[in-house]
Parts: sequence; C-alpha cells; structure tokens
Amino acid sequence: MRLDSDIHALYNESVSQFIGFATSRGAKLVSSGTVENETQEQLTGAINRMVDRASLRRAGQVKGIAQKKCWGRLADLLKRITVLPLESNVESVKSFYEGLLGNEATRPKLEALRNWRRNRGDKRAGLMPEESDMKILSEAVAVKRDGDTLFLVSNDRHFCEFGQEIERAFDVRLLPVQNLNQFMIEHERGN
Amino acid sequence: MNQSSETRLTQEAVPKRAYILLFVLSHVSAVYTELKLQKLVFQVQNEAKISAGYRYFKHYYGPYSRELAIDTLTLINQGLVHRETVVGREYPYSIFRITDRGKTYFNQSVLPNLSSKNVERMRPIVDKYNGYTPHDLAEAVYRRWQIEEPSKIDSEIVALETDLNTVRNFWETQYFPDCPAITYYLAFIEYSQDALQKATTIKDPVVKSVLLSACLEMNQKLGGIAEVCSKKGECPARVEQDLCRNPDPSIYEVFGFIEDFCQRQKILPKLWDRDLHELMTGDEYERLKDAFRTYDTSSSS
Repeated sequence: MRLDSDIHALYNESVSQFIGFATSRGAKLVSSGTVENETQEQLTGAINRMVDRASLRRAGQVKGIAQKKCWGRLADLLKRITVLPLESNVESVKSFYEGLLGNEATRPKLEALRNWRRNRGDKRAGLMPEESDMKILSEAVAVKRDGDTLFLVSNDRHFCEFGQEIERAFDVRLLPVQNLNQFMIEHERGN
Repeated sequence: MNQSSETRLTQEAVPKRAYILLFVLSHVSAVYTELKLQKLVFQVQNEAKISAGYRYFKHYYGPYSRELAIDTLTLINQGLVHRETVVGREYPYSIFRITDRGKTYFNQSVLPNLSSKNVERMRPIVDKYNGYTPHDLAEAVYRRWQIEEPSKIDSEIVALETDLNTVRNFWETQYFPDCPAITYYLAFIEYSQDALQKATTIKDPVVKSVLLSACLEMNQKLGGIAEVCSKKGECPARVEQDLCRNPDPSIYEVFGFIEDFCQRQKILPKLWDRDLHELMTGDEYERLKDAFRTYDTSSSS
C-alpha cells in the first residue's frame, strides 16, 4: 500500500494533459505568482480536509506525505508554464463584481457562493471574491492582447459561475477544469 | 545598511564570543545549513579548546547554543553575515556566508586581537570538519556527546515521548487545514515518536543516544516556534508573509537529519518512503480513498 501510487490514481490528470495538448498546438501558456501562491495554499487545505474526513488515528504523517507529493507535482506542472510578473488593475475587476452584486439576476449566485464557502468553514466569507481571486482575473485581463483568444483555466467558482459575464466584460473566455477533457476532444475533432 | 549604522558598528556591538563564528565563516566560502554551522562552531570551540566561547546545552539542545543562534542573527542584521534560504530538493535550508563588510570587520577588528595560537589551533579543525556533510557532522557531534549510561537513555526517551506529546497537543490545538507548516510539524512529531518507539528495541546505545539528541533538538525548536504561534491573534502566516510556507529552515534541517539517520540505521524509512500499512488500518485506508474520491475540489478562492 503506497501513498504514492494511491494518490497517483486519484490525481486529476486533465490539467497536465491539457498543458501537453496546448503546447503541442503552439498555444502560449502563462501563469503568475498570484496563481502559484494561491494554488499552493489551496492544495494544502484540500489535502488536509480530505485526510481529516477520513478520521485517521495517525493522520500527521499521511498529511505530510501527501502535501509533499502534491507540492512536488505542482512544481513540475509549473515548470511547463511561463510564470509572468504581471502588473494589473484590480479596480476594474472589483467594479465588475460590484456590478454583479447590484444586479438582481446575478446577486443570488454570489449569495449562494458565500453560503457555500461558509459551510466549508470559511467564516470570513463575504459576497465579494477574495482579493487574490480578483487579482488573478485582473492579471488574465492584463495578459490579453487585441486579437488574441485568451482562455482562463480555473476551478474557481467565482469565475466559473460567471463565465459569460466575464467574457462580455473582459473578452476572457473561461475554461473550467472539468470541461478540459471535453474541450480537448472537441478541438481534436475540429482539427 | 545606511551610513549611520555603519559608523555605529563598533567592536562592542559584536559580542566577543562571535569571533569564533566570524573566524569560521571567514575561513570557508559558505556553510550549508544552520545545523552544520552550530556543530562546526561547537567542534572548533571544543577541539581547539577556546575559552569564553558559546555555552552548549548537551542534553536539551542537542548540543545546541542559543547564544550562537542569536549572534548569527545579530551579525546578519549588522550586515556582516548573509543568510540565504534555499527551497531544497526535500526541505528548505539556509546557507551562511560572510559578507565583504564582514570580512573587512573581521580583518580589521577581530583578527588583530586573536592570538596566533588560537588561530593555528582553529584553522585545521575548521578545514577538517568543513569537509563533512551537515548530516555527517551532526552525527559525529551527537556521537561524541552521547549519553554515557544506557539506562539513562531509555528513561530520557520516555521523558521525551511525553514532551513530544505535549508539543503535539499544542500544535493540534493550533491546527487549521490551510497551514502547511503545522501540517509538516505534526508529521515530523509523529515520525519522531515512531522512531523513538522503535529505538527502544535497539541494543546499540550510541544509535539510541544520537536519535534521542536529534529528537530533543527538534522538540526544542518546535517548542520555540510554539511560543510565537501561541500569541493571541498572531499567526506567523499573517504576521510575516510566507513564513508558514517558508518557516525556519533549521527545523527542517534537524528533521532531515533524523529521517536520514533512521534510514541509515534501518530504524524507519524516510517519511516520504513510509508504507501506508504502518500508518493506518485497512478500514482507515478505505475511508481515505473514499474521502479523496468524493471531495469537492472546486474552490472559491
């Protein structure tokens, strides 16, 4: 029974496959320090919550091993992407979400998201996304050049729930992680 | 460092005992890990028989000198020594180097006051031990400072197990899922407890003594950080950005020694190589797999 192989069987390989897919087609893949930090932070929390749910008697080492292995995998993944130092304008993204809050059609979604976060233990969760989320979206906007098609690959519900709104406001297309396989299949067919 | 603090740096500002540290650092290009720096200064001080040096606490700090740790920080703050933190293949670690300013200070203010006899005695010892890897040097020092009476080792192991439990309980109360540092601390403590448990069946008192000393040192370090974390409302992750992701490398250095030693002595495999059979029951394993399978990985931040 090796955690290495067991965890491996549970990895979601779609991001890794997507990187290979996109690179082989000449697409430019970029990330930022904010994304890197955020991913690392999320990873630790996710691993620990999963192990906590299993109520192990000696969870300390299991968590440590899993954290180490997942961080290593993340580092390998990031080596395949260009990490850019990005200057961005968070204010425009803030205004965008404030606009969603003021809109009767979209406000309930933000409320539902806040409740979902609170149920997961984030007692500080408010209606607006975290500052780092807004920074990530503003960085994506900063990367975008006229005429380019820019995809933001994310699993973040503050982005995924508002894909159409984000595309309309910033011309950035949301690509949820769970749709990556479908996206690759469709592009294969298209080619 | 600005001009005013430059001129303020007098011989009095640097503790006299720090000349051993400055001598070591001026003599080598770099010292890799605080673990090695501690043990190197210790060996130089003891083998060269330098008086008025650092006080080392052999049982409770491994041997480890808190004064040396503080002097190192002081010299770093004064711009005489540079510390670089490296992520490392397995764990983060520190590299210490004397700066140009430190070299000037050493040559002008320290070296002229050192007796040639002391210099002659210290030089070959630095050369000798600088060639050791951090783990080899730490083991050599722990062996030298081994606890003499075998019966005392076992009772000290029992006492340390209690101490580790206390520190573990503390970290469990501080635990929150998003903290990577506490995740590692709890893993290190649990591993050390397993190692000490296994060590009770080992016959060789030297091996037991080395493991005990290293675990004592780690326990002390974890206790030291606990003091920072226990301050109300002061999570180091927030107080000092990134500290939790890049905490004091010296804890990792000592733990790195412990698991390396355990592997070499066949006490336990390294933490990352441990078999899950030893860590959980079949039922627990099934629960873990289920938790991984059903966990909602979407995020909100």
